[in-house]
Amino acid sequence: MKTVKQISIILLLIAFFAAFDLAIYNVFTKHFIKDTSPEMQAKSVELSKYLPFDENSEIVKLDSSLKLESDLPVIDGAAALFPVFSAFVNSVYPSDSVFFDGENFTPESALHYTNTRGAYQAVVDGGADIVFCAKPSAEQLEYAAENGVELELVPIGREAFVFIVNSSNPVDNLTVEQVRGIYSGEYKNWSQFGGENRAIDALQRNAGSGSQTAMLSFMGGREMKRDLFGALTGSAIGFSFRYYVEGIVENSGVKMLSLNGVYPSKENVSNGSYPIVSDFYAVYRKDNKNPNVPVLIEWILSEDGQRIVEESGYSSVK
Amino acid sequence: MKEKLFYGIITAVCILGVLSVIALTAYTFHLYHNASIISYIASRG
Repeated sequence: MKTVKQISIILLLIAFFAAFDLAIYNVFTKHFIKDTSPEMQAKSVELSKYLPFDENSEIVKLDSSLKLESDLPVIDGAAALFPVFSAFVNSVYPSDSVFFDGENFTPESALHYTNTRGAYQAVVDGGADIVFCAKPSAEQLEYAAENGVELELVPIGREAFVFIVNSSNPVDNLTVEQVRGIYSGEYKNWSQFGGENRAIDALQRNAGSGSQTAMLSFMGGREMKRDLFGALTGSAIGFSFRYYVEGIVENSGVKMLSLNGVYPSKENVSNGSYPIVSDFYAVYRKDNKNPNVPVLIEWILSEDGQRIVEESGYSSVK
Repeated sequence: MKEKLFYGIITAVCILGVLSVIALTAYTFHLYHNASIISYIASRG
């Protein structure tokens, strides 16, 4: 009898830990497990789809009058802009200047990809000559200043900053102030906007990423909060750049919201009616001595370069 | 069952249980750190 009781206690204890683990898995873990589709597994961008000098590449291909043969500026940048700067390299650089090992570019390659945080560090440290990114964060500017580096930012294109929700969310439109209210914790339930009676999970990105920096700028100093109840049970809202959502990731499980009644179509970005449009930049060190840095940037701002920007899905600065 | 054996099993189960919670939490954090915001939103209703 005593043995039966002891065994029952042991089994109950095992069941307790199993139930606890199952609860953690159901509430948190399973939401982050990627499914098997390439789009869901792409944490940033599938480089192999947008390689330069690849006949199957999806980049814009343009025969440029400018051809660089030496002193090639080393290029890096953000995930959302990789198709653009890969297309720049494809048009202007020699085909033997880029080395891709199947996963990423080698150190000897003139084209690198380390995403926004890596790119800003690379341009400050000298690992890259020109990086293509959204505006730098305060921390990234501080890092440059600590290293005695002054960065030059040249706008080369424009893009809409968008807010995304699950496709099944009945809410299609929010005002700019409502979005700020969501992220500052003023609004906590989708029913406040005509949606379901469900908590709002206001997601953010990693510090230093292009979209997080853009979001901080959009909030204008208002503190961003993520509600625990919303995180556990809510329906999420997030943010990104239009073409990255629509043209690169292309996940039908999410949709972009209209802001102030204006949908973030390319036309509404170009005509200025969509309320949040950000520039993206070619960024380089002011003390960079590579003579081809200004040459390449001038070309990017020319008709050829801006055509690549437009045909890649973004809006030109012209 | 001898008392010593019983408490030994209890201790082992507790240690393994706590380790499983720690491992699952660490794994979840690793996934969270690498998750795409877009895929996260798409997978939650």
